[in-house]
Amino acid sequence: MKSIKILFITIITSIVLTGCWDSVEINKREYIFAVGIDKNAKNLTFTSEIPKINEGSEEQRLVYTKDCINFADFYATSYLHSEKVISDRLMQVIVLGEDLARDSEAVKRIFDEIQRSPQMNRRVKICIAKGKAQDIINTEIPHNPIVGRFLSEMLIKLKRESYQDIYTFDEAILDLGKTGNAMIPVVEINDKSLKVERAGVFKEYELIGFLEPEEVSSIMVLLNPSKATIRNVNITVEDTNVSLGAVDITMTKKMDLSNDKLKVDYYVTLYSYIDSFIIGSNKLEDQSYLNKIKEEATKNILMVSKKTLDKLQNSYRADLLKIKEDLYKYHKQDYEKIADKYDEIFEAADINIHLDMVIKSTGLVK
Amino acid sequence: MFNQDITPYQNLSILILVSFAFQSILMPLLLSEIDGPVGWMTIIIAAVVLYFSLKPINKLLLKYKEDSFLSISNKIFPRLISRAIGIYYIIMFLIANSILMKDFAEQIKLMMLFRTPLGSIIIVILLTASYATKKGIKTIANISSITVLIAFIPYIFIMIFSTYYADYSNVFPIYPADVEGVLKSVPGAILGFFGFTILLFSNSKVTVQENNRSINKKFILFSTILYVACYLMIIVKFGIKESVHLVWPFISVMKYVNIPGFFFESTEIVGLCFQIIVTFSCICIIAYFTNIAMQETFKTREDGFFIYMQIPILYFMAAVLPGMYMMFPYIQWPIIILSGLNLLIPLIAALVDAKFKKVKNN
Repeated sequence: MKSIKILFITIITSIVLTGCWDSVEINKREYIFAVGIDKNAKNLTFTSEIPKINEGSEEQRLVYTKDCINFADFYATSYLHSEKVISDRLMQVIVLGEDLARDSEAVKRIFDEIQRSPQMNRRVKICIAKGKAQDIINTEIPHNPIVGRFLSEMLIKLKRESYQDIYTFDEAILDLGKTGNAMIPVVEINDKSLKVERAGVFKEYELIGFLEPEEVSSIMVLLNPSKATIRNVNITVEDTNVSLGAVDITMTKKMDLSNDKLKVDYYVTLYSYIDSFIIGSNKLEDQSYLNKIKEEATKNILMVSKKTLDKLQNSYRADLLKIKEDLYKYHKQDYEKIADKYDEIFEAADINIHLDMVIKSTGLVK
Repeated sequence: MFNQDITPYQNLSILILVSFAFQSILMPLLLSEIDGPVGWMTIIIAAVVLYFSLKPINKLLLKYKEDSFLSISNKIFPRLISRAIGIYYIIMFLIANSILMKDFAEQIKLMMLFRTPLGSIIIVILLTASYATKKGIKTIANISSITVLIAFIPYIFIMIFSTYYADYSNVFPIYPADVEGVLKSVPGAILGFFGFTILLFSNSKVTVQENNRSINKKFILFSTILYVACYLMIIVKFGIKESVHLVWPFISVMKYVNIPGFFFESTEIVGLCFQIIVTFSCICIIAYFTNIAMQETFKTREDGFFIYMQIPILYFMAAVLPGMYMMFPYIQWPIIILSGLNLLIPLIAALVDAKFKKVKNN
């Protein structure tokens, strides 16, 4: 009986231990931090960045470039080309090349593979390269040589400040799924570094154009007024340069959909501080001068907003303002009637921004 | 052989745990069958149906305090019918347990043991669960109450933390609701309250039977809150359009866990570990009550050795059956039948017993 028990325990232990048969020690792994994907004549080009964490030299990295069909093929090829095992568990950023982003089929395949993977984290950051993703990954940044870490930290910082709406793969795929449109950050080479200022406009998984920083800012005010960070408003009033900083934004919106005519009104109140004026002038004590500043600033902001709306409605026909989502959520009956022809309805929609500017303070001096 | 008494709260933990496991398995059905994020209405309708069904069932169970539902049906139904009911419960428990095991094994394989054969994972779960099952209800009840404390509650917390980047407006639109979809998915939601079937067997094992009535009601209440909360959590995280595509919405939600200051690299694996404990406890519970159903149907004195019969059956079924997510397109009718029988059998028994009593009094 005793020997049967021992035999039984041995068999069970050997079965349980099978869980360890594919274990790989940490020093036998290579952790991808960033991957750039470009389109080539036949397939895709994957450029991966692997910091030399295991060797204790955190500021050094390896960059591999391989032509592959998809992620799975990339891992399989990498497995055969290195003595170590490639791991994507710590992947920070995926950079899509501009050519690739303009090919909706390729984007759909890549997004599907990321979404399907049990290992890849859906919260991996995502951005579009202006030009080739390979160039972005290969950029030598003197003060922060690991591009994956640099981009990840930068995108987290921008997300915290709500400069843009989407920073992760998860957010991108949810937005594209819900509305068919998304605004994804664009990374560009900036001398010996990288910058993230502009946004790429995606429609049905295809990059259709770019938005300038002030246009992104206008959209963010309408999308997420409580968190949106907008740049300073620089104006000239009576030959004096004035700079206004927005401190708080409140907004209400009103939607009306009747007879295939969509009307959306945004009522925005922007609370601002005077950031810069000129020493020796007491004009800021004069209410009429302050009113002139408000008028000029309002004109300035509305001009950019109108230009942005025009671009969204007529050039891109992309509803980045998520009006479609709001209609579905809060006016479902009306929305269902126009769901099939929403793009045309959006293009012809009457979208108005009513801006009320409030100067809360002139700073520490009058 | 072993002490067979459990406390009312151990009973409650058994019922809630089992229901939670099936609710998470059946969640994709609830998400995909209804147009719009109004599945919570289905859950509430199912809960109301079960709540009112509990009244006659509680009465019946309290009348035959020491007997489980199958012993009661032996007393009130002809032999053939009571045997058929017994066999139905045995088959239903075996199918339910094998589906649970298959799903559980697939999750472990996909998330943790990529290269381990599924068969090895299933056999390890089975052998470990059968050891606990053989020990009897007391051990199972202890496992359940400990699981609630050390795994279930932290698991729920982890799920809450995973809604860090959620869009709460995803709960809209509520009106106009897809009434047809809501009503069509009620049988699935009723089946999600699997504890309703378990209580027919577990109530007779409770030390203080007088509390069973309130414990059963509490079970429906807590399970409903959990079911609705979990449904809404998935909705606010993914939105209804994305949720429909997910194979395991709960596992997917855990991929977003964001606990400020948490030092683990993969928090989803921590959540998965808690889920492993929860699901493992459920497998033990169902295996035990399959033993009880077998004992009472085949009228034997012992129940423990039935686990040896269950092991090959469960292994074979778990290995052969496709994953639950692959069966969804084909299980509309089986779900209606199973959930209908689970609800109607005890209700008919309660009705027959009430009539029988009336005739006897006359």
